[in-house]
Amino acid sequence: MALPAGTHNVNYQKDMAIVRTRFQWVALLLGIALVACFPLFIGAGWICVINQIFCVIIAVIGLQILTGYSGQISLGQAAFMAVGAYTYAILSAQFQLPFLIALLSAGIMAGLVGVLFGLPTIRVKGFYLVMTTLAAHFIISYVTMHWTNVTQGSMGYEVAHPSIFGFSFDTETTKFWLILVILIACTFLAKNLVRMRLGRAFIAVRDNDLAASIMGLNIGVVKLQAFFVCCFFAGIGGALFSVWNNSVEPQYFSLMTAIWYLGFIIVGGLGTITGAFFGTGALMLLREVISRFLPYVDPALVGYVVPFNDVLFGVIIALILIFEPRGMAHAWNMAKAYIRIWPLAY
Amino acid sequence: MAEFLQATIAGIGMSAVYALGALGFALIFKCSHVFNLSHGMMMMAGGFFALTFNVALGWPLWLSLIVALILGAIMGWGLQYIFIRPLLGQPLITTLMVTIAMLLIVKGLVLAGWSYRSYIPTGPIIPIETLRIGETTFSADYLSAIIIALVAFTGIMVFFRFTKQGITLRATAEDEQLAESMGVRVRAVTGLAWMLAGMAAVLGGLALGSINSINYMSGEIALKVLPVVVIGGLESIPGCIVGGLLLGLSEMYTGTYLEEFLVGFKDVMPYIIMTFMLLIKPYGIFGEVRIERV
Repeated sequence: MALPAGTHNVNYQKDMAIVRTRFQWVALLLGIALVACFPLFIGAGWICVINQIFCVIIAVIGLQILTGYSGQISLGQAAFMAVGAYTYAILSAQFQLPFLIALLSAGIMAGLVGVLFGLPTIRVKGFYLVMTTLAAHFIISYVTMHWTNVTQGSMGYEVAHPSIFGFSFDTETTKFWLILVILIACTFLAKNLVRMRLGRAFIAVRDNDLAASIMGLNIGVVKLQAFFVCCFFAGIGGALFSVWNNSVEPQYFSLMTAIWYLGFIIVGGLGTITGAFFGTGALMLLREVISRFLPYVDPALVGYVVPFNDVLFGVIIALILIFEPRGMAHAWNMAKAYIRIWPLAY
Repeated sequence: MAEFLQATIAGIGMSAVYALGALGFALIFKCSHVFNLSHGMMMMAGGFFALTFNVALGWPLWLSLIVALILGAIMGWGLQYIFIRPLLGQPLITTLMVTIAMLLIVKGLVLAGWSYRSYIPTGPIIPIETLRIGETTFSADYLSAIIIALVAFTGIMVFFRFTKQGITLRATAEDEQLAESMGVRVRAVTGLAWMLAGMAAVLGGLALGSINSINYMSGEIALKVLPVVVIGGLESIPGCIVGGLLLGLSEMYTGTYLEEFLVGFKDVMPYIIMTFMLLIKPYGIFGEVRIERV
């Protein structure tokens, strides 16, 4: 997007800033303040939904970095979330580690497992990578299901309410603020990560890996780094998911979930962090509205909620791919540009 | 020994299902370069087509199979026409993404149409008796799955070698632009490949239904055709048979000998073998090694 008329970046700092103008600062702070005030005027039921959306957004940001920025398609995101969730649950329950340390270790653990399963990427690319992540999904879900000494299998694992410095996050509302703060931190991290050297290396590998290797990048290492970053976010998202849910069970992290996540970034727009927000937010809200609205129309339709959501979601993905492959993030930019020059379009 | 033979027979029977699924996948990948993630769901839908006429409407199996084959061909062609054709010339990653949409739509429609019903064919697909040699039993379901797979593979080999359509299909797979300049209608050929794949999906779904049963979970079982094609080599039709045999046998052997120690391990076995295959020989047993030019 070109800068609007009359806005000039006069120095390097301003050129590099994510938030460039005073208006953007005001809009950003007001927006965050507005979101932080949600619990004041939204019922607990919807706060619960929004909490879930926030957790998923964190994982989807990771997937966006792997798929959107470095071009490696992954069907294993749900399983990597499970790794994070179980690590957090076990560390906080068995070893009584403080919340933040357990959360970070969950992210790092998921990242390391991701690197392990990303190893074949050094030799293969494209379609074959989908297969290794698919294998990762099935192997991890087998482990979570059957390594009962550690994961308690299909019974699931209880997760206690987290607390920081004695303050316990035991209600939906307090958890909402906790997750919101972590989401903002993750977004900040991701936004900066994709424009530093590492992120530019990701983009170079995505656009043309041969050219990137000729320019001196070690493609294998860059891909593994992308895997680590992606799975780190997945681990954080999964750990928060277990915090939100008070429990971890293997069936939360099914293959369909991973497929949905991939759909979120397609709909949101590949290669933008904002896209992760748009896609996840819009589609998960839509899914929630439909699963509440259909039984309201006719109680007999309850059984059709899941298939209806699947078909609708598939149609949306196909339409987006055919008509607007750049996704909702691009549509949002176009809308902003339209409003900026309205009514005197040039 | 008897146990071993029994596992071998079950493994070969299961590998017939995998090979049939892989056949459809490989046909699509060969001719239109689409990595069809939805093929497992297409197999599930195909199985439902065949068994609805057979079980719910009480038609004889041969008649319902013929009708299902026609429906499967229509399904394959229709999916291609709606989703793949508008994306002609797009990067391969886009077509892969659109198969995710196809997966969701096919799964949703099957779930809406049949919900949680589970079908098993009324009798063996091919009217044969269960064979007993010594202590080993050759179940009619496994035998008929093997026979169907053999017939389908022979049919497809003959089709590729001796018919004009088969030769144009191979030409298109070799070089799309060159084939087009020689007067091959590439779009029609792609449609044909998808129709054949849909029919293979029906056969695979029916064989799967006679061995296990067809229900809403079958799509995930049928997902194992993906390891099969990766091990065999994505574009290779003999690779489907070899990969299918490798996975079917390894799955049944782990099921027979490791089930006491590792419950359910046989379902992960294909994926573990595939991961090692990708590390050692990424392009599969019969796959073409791609050499890239800058």
